[in-house]
Amino acid sequence: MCVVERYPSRMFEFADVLRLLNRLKAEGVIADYAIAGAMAAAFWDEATATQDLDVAVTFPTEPSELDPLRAIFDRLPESQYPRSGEHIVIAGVPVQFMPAWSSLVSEAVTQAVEMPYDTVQSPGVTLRVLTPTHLTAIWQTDTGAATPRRKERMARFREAGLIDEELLNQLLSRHRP
Amino acid sequence: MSNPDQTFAAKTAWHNAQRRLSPREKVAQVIALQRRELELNAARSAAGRPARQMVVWNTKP
Repeated sequence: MCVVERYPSRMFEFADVLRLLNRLKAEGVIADYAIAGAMAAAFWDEATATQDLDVAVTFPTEPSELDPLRAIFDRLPESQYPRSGEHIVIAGVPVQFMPAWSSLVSEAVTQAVEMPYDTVQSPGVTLRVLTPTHLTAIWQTDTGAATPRRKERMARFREAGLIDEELLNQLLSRHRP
Repeated sequence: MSNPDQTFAAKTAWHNAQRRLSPREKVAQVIALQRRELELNAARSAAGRPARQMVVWNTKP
């Protein structure tokens, strides 16, 4: 698809979302993060329309079970970062922070791949993305996660040779309930 | 009549080229697709079958 778009100069930049995520990690608000969900799939494969940016996070210390995202909410006050349902709007993008919800997701965040956003226009800005193998393992083990759309994505990952089958088998044997 | 092998090879090459786009280019595509969803949903609404409204990100790729 050829994308030719014009954007008003006063708009935010997606790179600012990434800068903030990396700052949260540098400040120790979170231990680590990785982009998950449809955007992670888009970065590895082909883009699809999605509502939000899913970000899986781990914390330096065990967060409260009742309020696990408190450190992020405190660091990103609503006066500067509006809330929209379950999202925090950062630089115009609704971001859903998700505390790592299983040992598999924690491992996936740790082993996420760091890649440059754009070496020309945003040099130095990086993003961390869950690998196709970990995304596949998560979608295959989380109850109800293997939706038709995700099954199609997994098939496309496999067709493109993006899945490490040996690692996937290890992950499934260790984490499958 | 087109050669099926050539057609599939071209399709595979197109998909491979899409995969190689930078994250910034992927974000640009996502925003373009969000805009397209708005147009499609207007058509769905006109037909009495609206889907969940897509909100286009207010950000530059």
